[in-house]
Amino acid sequence: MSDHQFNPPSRVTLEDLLHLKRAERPPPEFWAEFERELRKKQLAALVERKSWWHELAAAYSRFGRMRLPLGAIAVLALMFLSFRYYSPPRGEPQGIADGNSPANQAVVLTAAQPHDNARLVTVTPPAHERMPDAQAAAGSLHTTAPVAEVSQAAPGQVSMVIPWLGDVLENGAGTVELTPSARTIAVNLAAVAVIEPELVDAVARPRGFEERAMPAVRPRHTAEVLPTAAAVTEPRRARLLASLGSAGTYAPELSAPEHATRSVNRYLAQDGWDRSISRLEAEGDHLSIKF
Amino acid sequence: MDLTKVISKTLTTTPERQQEADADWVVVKKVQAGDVAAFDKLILKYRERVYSIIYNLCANREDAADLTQGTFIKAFQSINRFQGQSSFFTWLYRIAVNATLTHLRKNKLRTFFSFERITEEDKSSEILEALTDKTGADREVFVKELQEKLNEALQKLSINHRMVVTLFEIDGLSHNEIAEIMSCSVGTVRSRLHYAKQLLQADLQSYLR
Repeated sequence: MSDHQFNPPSRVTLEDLLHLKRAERPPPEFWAEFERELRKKQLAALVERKSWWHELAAAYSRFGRMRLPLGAIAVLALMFLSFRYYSPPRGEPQGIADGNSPANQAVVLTAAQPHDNARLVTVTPPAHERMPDAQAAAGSLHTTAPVAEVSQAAPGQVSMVIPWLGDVLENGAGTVELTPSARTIAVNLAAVAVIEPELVDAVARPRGFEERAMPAVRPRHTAEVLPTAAAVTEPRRARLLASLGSAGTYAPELSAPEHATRSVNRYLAQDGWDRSISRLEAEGDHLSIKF
Repeated sequence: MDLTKVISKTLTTTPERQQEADADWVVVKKVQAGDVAAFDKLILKYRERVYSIIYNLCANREDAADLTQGTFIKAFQSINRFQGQSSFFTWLYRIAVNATLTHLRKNKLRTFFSFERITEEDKSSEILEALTDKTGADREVFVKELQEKLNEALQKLSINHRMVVTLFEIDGLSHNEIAEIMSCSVGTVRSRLHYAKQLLQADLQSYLR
């Protein structure tokens, strides 16, 4: 109702007013209903399956005051692992590599005869062929090591799998710019070619876009492109030559003065040429006419 | 628990509170050992106090009932994690307060008030006598209006200020207990209480002398 009717008769403090809030209590029947609902909820909570993250959070909270150091240790461990397995990109300096690291090893085919049962073995190249990491850091990824080892392994198979490498090997180049990775891949492919020829055929054969686009840029087929181009331009050339001479007797071997003399003679043979003379000069042993 | 906390707790906790905490700890150990029925004792002991604090914070009896039930269920589920570092009732209050805060923040825009009736006991009856000489239906109307005014003034306070006032003035907790429940210093509790009372006084001036 309206405040103007209110007229407090004696001293009432704020604490007294707030004490009235304490007197706001639910009736006794409320608690009966409350207990019934609580039982239902309690049972539902008992049968409810908790998610795994609840269990994880509960387990973590059990450590109490150890939570902070445990969290710090976990973060440090994560950092250590990330650094441990972090591989810097090419060109960045690394530590001195172990001689037995996979980068310095190659799988070489060992077989007494080409059709013997071949087996793959891992060999380590000589020390002078190993690529130190410092060298890699400087960006000098090329090596001048001979490829004798590759050719000893299986030159035929190598050239079968990688044609351009086969050229290199067959030409007997003493020094080639070949990275260790390329040599390793070539040797491995050669080994696989002996063991699983169908697999190599399936892998090495260009497909899709490669099949459509790559034949034109293969080194072996570059020489065949020129005759094809010449054949295409032949009719155009013939048409051009025909338009140059009235009788089609164009002789490209003629020199410039000879060509001029022939033109003048052809002109003088025509009727009425004398009517088109604009200037005639005789000087010494020669005559100059301007039409 | 930190040594300073233990000392401060020992110095500030009254013997009655300490006895109560010890008795609760015995019951809690029974529940932790698998005696689920023992938890009913704790429910019976604290349900009105927990309901009261939640009701005074959210001013809605239905929400208060739900939140009180939720508080006891959460306490039951987490009782194995209770290590006795604080008294059980402080721990239970903290659960209740956190649940209420979450509820209030979630339903900031939805404010429906529903009140319990004021039970006229000795003290409240005296206060009401001092406030009005009306009787019968007029008195009923006056009490209802007073309830609304009180609630309005409390709802104008921020959640933290309202909580301090509720815990101290309505539930009768000490500054230390409130500081422990709200995870803040005793000085903060005092300062908040002082500020909240100033605001309430200004708002309820027409009822005060």
